[in-house]
Amino acid sequence: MKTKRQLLLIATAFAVCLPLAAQEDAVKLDPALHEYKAVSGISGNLNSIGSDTLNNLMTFWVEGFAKYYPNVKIQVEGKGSSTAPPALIAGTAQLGPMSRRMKAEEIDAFERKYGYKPRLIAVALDGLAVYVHKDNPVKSLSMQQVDSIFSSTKKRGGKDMSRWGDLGLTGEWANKPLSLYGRNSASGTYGFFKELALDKGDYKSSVKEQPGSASVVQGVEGDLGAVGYSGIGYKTSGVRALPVSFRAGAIAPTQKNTENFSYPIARYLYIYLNKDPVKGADPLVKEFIKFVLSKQGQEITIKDGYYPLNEKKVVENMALLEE
Amino acid sequence: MSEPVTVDPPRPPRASSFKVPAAVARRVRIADRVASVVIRLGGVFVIIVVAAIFVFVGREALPLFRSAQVELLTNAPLPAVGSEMMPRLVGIDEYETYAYRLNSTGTVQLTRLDTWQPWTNLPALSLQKHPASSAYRSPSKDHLYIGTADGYVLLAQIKFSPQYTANGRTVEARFSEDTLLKVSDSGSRVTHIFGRHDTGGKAHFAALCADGKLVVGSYLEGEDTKINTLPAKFTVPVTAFAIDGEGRKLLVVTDDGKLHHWFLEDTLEKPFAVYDAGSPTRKITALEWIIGNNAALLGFSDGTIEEWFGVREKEDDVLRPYKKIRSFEPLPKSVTAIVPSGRDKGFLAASEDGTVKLYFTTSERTLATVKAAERIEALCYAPKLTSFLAVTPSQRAGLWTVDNPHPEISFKALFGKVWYEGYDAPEYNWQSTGGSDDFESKFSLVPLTIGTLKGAFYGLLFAIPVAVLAAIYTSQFMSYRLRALVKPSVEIMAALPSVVIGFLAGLWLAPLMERHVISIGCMILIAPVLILLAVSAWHHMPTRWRTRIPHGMELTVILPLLVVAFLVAIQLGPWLEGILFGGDFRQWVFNVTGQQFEQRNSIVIGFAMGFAVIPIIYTISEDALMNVPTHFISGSLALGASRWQTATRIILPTASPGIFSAVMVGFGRAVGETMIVLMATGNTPILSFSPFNGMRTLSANIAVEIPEAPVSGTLYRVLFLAAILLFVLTFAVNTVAELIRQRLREKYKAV
Repeated sequence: MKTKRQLLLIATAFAVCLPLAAQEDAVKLDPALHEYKAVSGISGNLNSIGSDTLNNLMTFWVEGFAKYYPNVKIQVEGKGSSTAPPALIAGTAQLGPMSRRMKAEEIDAFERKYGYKPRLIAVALDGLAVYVHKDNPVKSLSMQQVDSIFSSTKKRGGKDMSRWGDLGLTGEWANKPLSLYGRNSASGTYGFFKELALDKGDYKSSVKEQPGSASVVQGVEGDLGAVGYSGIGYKTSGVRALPVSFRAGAIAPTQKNTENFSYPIARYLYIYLNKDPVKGADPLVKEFIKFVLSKQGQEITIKDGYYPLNEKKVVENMALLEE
Repeated sequence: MSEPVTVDPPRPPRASSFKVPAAVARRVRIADRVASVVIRLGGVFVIIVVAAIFVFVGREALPLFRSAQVELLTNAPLPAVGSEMMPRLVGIDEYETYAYRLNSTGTVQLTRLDTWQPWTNLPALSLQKHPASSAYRSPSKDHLYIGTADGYVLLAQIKFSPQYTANGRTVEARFSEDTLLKVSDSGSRVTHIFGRHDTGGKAHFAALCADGKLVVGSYLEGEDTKINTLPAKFTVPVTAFAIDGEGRKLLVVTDDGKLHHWFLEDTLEKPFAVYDAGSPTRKITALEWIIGNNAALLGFSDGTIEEWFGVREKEDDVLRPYKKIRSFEPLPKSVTAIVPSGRDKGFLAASEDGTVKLYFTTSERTLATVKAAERIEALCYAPKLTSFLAVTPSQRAGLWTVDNPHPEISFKALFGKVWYEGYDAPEYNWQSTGGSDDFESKFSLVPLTIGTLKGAFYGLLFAIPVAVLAAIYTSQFMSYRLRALVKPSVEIMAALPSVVIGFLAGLWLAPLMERHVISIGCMILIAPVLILLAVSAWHHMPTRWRTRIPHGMELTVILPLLVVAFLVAIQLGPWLEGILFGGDFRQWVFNVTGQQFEQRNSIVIGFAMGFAVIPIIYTISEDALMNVPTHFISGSLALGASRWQTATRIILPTASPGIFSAVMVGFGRAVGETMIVLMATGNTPILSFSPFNGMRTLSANIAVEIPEAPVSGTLYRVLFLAAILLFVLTFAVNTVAELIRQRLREKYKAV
């Protein structure tokens, strides 16, 4: 275990030296993305039920989409990714935004009803961020520390942490208790963070479960000793997204680090569709996804604070839509 | 109701006073009877409705405790190609269209499960040059790990892809070889193999060669392949082993009943630990992982099955040594095969005599038992858990369908301490949903029940004194004019929607309380003391002054005092916090008790819930106090008792049954309250009675989790069960309260 500790030291040293200015780099859009072109004969209603992480983004996309098709009405409801599969199965929603992949159990339930699997389309990139209060002096965290902060199982082998002193802070911070903010269990972010950051461990029961991503960030903003996790799109000026790393080096959730998945808790955000393999997807749903994966759609992604997909990924997903 | 309702006949009017005309008397009697019937019918109707709700909710929750339904679908010889079928390998595809097996010369044979006819043979080309000697199938995704007679390992997958046409679905199958790796330089025969894939698609395998060497390896296309031979020499033959999906842990069982445990990332040189799991007479005959590759299942020669996983018993057990956690209902004979489910924490185990049992780890339940005619050699649990297949050495196979919707629930899983995977000790825990299939749902209702009682307790702690004392004051001492104003105002409080109270408590009161907790504490202490001082001072004042304020209007003097108390407390708070608690009370609480001072804590809930409950307790108590017959009061006063003596010794005891039921109705309201706790706590399902942290109540839990619960799923039904529990809780409290009230009433009737 000695080596691990040394690595940790190196990591911290790196973090101190590393200029964090790179974090402010503007997010770039892949120039190869295609413009969206409106087609004729599109009208009707759609419902979207699912992820809260994607809630704002869905709303923006719907607004952008409505500029092309004023007759289309799309309602967006975002209570958590786990609400998407039941809605898709019951047919109350045609779009199921999710911030995690469906569990096999959920796919089974869908398949029992329709005879085929739901279609998964990646629509944006997110560096799931670990936020602290803006005045918090902590520089970066290792994944083991993240696990020790949030989990009761400590599968990454760390020791229990309950005060900021355990993370190496000194002075008045040393004895300040860690106040934990997280999402409720309906959230895909909850499940994703649990799987990747806690190595499938369990949360401490003292994690305050917030109903939305925004309230996690709000909670951290108003609580000096707070630490919480939420999508990068919800970042505000009152909080700081900490660089996180597996081993050496502090890796900030920037576009580059997220795109090449060197940031350890990067993920795609998805929309699940009910696409009949014989009849194909509903034309309205198809146009909406085409819009989302277009240059205009991905510009909106940037505006909401998430990272856009590159051309390669877009082509991959368009193929999934068309095939 | 066939029998005419008997009602006490109206007492005959006293002859002397006046005579009621016969017609009027008859009308009164009829009206009396009709009213009595209607009221009774209404009562019966209410009982029927409540019972119907109970039955409906109960019907939703009851299937939780049902066993699995297992039915034999087919029992017939399984078609075979050649004689050399790999004995332990049998699989069912995800769509449950085929059963597949492998023979040693490189043919994968598919049999249709509906017609039981051979369907097609897929060639495994590598195996035609390197005949297979052992094979293993991972419980999901049809990954095959095949060892050959000349020291190679073939990693392959049978890919099943559905094709949809207008006529329905057909499933196509393809045998896809990933790689062929040489694991034994001497070309020694691979006698035993085990493997797993991680979520990124990387294969990890362990293979035992005939020369006694154990090889571990990993493979992912585009990455360096790693193959390592463990330096360990086993003096006793190895009987089984298992490697996890990350290539971190390796468990090896030897013939003397020892379990060897490696951490492969740490060192290959020697095992991290060796446990005496069995003995030379009680051998370990089967070893498998439960989904998640963390908990191991050990099957023994005496038919027992045990679950083991890593536990941190000391603070420095960073690599957790394994430990026996639980054992399951034993099989009649030696365990021949264990097959874990690929979706949940269940597994199948087969015995020497052909018995197959279906178990679930968390709930420790045996869900089904079936028996085949002879020893079972190979067993396969279909990926969607809707059927399983068992093959005997004589190549007969049985296919059973399984309907097992709620295996994770047992009485113990709901109300007992359960040792969950990865935990260091048994615990009560509520964590219903995870983001992956290998998540172990934790459905303990204990933290929620405790949370419910905790919320009600702190609510009543604040509400009872305030409401009851206020009721005594308004009914006995306040002037009628003031009372006509105060009582309706308090009753209006009851009309305030609880969501508004919850909203205010969560967003306004909680942050305020966090900043001024000492000041608020001071206020609670200072105000009564100041008032008591003022009252005794009042007594010593000259009568001239005292008569200036009319009876029942003393309140006007006390109100300014409250303002004074408030101002003093605001000033005193920070000063006291500086002197007693080092300037930061939250930090002090954490340092002294180790408990965190949460912003959304039970004190906030106490105030908010108290606010919701006060009007109920106040109104009912006040009515009870007002209903004390006036001749009691007049008698007491006439005999020279003071108003205070009359209130405490005559009125309060007489009204006590009413006050008691007021408190109980308030309790019922507090237990069922949802929105306030939902909005003003962090909804943390913790098991603690500390006033400085929050809670999650049964009702809030239902509100939080019902949107994500798939209809008729386990979580959905458990939430209904929580509703029943809530119902039982209030029902029990109300019944007890009613009994006590009756007794009190009996006791004071004589007064």
